[in-house]
Amino acid sequence: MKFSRYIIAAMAAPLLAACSSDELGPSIFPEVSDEPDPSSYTYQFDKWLNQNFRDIYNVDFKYLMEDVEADMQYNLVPATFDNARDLALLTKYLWYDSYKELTGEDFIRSYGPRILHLVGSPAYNPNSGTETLGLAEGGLKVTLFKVNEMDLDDINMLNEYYFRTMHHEFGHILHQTKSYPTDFNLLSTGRYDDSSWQSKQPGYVASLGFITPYASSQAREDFAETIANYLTRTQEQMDLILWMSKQGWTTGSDKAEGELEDENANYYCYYYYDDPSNVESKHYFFYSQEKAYRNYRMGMVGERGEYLTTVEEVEAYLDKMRETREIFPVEDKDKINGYDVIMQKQSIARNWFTDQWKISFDDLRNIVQRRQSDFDIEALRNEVNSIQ
Amino acid sequence: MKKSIYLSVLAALALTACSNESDPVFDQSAAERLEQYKKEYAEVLTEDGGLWTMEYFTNSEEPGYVFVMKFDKNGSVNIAANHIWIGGEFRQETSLWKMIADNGPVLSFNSYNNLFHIFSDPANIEGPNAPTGESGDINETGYGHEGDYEFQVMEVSEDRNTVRLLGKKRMYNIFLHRLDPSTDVEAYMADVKNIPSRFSTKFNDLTMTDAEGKLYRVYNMNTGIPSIYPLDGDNVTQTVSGNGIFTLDGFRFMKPIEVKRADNTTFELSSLSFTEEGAMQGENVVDLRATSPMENITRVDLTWTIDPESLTGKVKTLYDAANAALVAALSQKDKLGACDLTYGSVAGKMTAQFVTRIGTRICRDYIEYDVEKDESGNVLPSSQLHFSITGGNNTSIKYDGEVPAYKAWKDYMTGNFTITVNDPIIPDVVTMTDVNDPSSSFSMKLK
Repeated sequence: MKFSRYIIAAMAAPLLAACSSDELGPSIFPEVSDEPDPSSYTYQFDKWLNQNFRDIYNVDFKYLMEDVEADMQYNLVPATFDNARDLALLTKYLWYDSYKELTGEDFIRSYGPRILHLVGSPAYNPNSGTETLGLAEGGLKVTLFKVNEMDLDDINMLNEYYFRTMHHEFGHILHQTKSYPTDFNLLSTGRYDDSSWQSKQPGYVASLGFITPYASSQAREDFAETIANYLTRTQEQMDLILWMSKQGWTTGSDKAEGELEDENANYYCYYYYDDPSNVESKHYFFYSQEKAYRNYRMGMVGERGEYLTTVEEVEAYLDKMRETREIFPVEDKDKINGYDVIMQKQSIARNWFTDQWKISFDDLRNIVQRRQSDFDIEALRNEVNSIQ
Repeated sequence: MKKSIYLSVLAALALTACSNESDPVFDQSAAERLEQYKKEYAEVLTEDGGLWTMEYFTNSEEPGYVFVMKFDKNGSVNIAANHIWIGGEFRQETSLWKMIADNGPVLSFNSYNNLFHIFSDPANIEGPNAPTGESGDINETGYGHEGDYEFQVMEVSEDRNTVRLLGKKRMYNIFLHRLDPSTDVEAYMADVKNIPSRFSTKFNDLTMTDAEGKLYRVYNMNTGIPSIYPLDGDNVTQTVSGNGIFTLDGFRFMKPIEVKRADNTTFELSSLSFTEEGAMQGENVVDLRATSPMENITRVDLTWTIDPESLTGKVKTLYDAANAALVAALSQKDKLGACDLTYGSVAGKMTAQFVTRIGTRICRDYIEYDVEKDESGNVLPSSQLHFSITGGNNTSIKYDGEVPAYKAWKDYMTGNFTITVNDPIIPDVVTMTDVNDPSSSFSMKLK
């Protein structure tokens, strides 16, 4: 009986396999051209994108909203065509061409993202009251939000929402490819706060050794922020952050040890007395802000709401205060030299670029700084408009 | 036995081994069919001039908005709008569109258009019309109006002039109707924008009659979110509301609403269209118009002023005689001025009055309307006006005695008049015609 079973099984095997075929049938998908249609409204731009992103860097620059490319938990809208075009031109000029100028095309072609996706609106997180500025997914795709609010006349705005984000996300891609030294993580051990970084003020975190509040969320964000801020912040802005890092900061409230500060309290770095003989008349003033309404620079806020964005303005303001009263800097009690920590972090990033990537961090910064101060959007637009 | 089973299985395999040669249900693959539909729907949108009006809904809390869109084969779309969120002014802007493959063919407006995507933008809604709650302005950051900008193409009418779309996120039906390519878009949009002004807050209460002759109160029609309850029912528990959109034809609810009858049975109401007369009707609804003229004339909050230019026949003769007698008895300046049917406080009680002015003097005759009321005190519809004078102020009594022609005219006004209105929805001019003498009539305008 067993024997006959084996015979039947052996006979059935070829029958079961008889349906396989070695030849491919016709595709079930219709043929689609990979070249833009010359009669299309977007022909010149599409062709420019192909020539400058797809053909050179193997990048799919998605400027038309595709919800499947975005996180469905957000309510998002597309970018305007004009802003998308300008941002594409600037992305090439300020990001890709900066690296290309220093390293040639191969470096960013090897490590750059494969998809850039533009979204017109911010990605609001209503529950936390924050906005996600950009997303980088596994080094493959970078999504940039808020494209419809782009202000070409304000490099600080452009950096805040796009280019610092690009360098930040690219920083992640690079350190995920070649790890940064673990020494970096030790510089601020125990001071990262992933849950409430967004309510912290730039001056306060600078004095703890963080270049921005987001840098204080976790070590890898700190590293990416160190790179992105060093490359894109103007010297004036860097100087102000370093000035902040040298101050002492207080909310002015007397909290018991271990008691948490009010998350929304301002941290001040100066005080004075209405009545010098009365300690009860103590007034704290001068706090920091990451950006003000329509002003995308870090700044210090004076007693009358003055928004000061350079060390020169800050010193002039303090000198003017001194003309009317005696003012005192808040004592720096945190026992952390914020300035030194920030500089050490920059130094680690600098050495990492040199050792791992054979790139001069400072040369790259100089190129980025030069390009963001001299770009001519009309000339860049002509690159698109001149396409036949 | 087992052996025969094995042989049967073997035979079955031999017979079915090449069953992949089965007849296909469709001639083309799913991808090819999808591509074909994309192409066909793109052709529908762009053919015959490619001009369409879109009836768009953002959410269930707002009225719908009308856009005019011109779809071009080159992938651009020119969108025209004049809604309140762009300041109410007519504007046009060009952006991009594409028929994409998603949940079937999907019409995607895939580059931002300031006139259209404002309803999908997650920014906080700002401006004088921004929604407010108990504690003031509501913060919609992260949500905005919550409108769609991608739509599944659900169906195209046989004549290819109507397309039903379904918002991809919110699942609201959005209709496209083809417009003649020669349409003056700005004038068309202005006409559509004026439709809500055919409803007035002064005549906020409208009366709807269903197919069975039952009456309903409809209010807030001018907001685009009307409410309806049965007049013989309960205005709290039986009120239903729904948002809709004004079009040149009338009004369409975003989703059909279930109107409640007094006995809690319901009927569906999906749209209302204007009749030639200017009233409205729809499926299951034979008539929608302002409450009866008599109800409006007797409203405490309204004042009706007689238009002297409208007088005809006997009422004009008596009016002229009264005027001549007043001038003769008093002075050239003492002609009849504005004459109103209104209300005023008499001994702390709002009292209906027939007010006449002689020069600078004001004569008040206290009147009582001859009306029927229901159990709740609502004035029942009537097509006739009649009131009687129950008293007056001293000035009125004085001139009644001194100028008989003046009193004769007022007495005539207490006769029976048939009421007609200028507009069934905003009856702000009513014409009275003597029941016994159709040549004698006068009009009153809402003050």
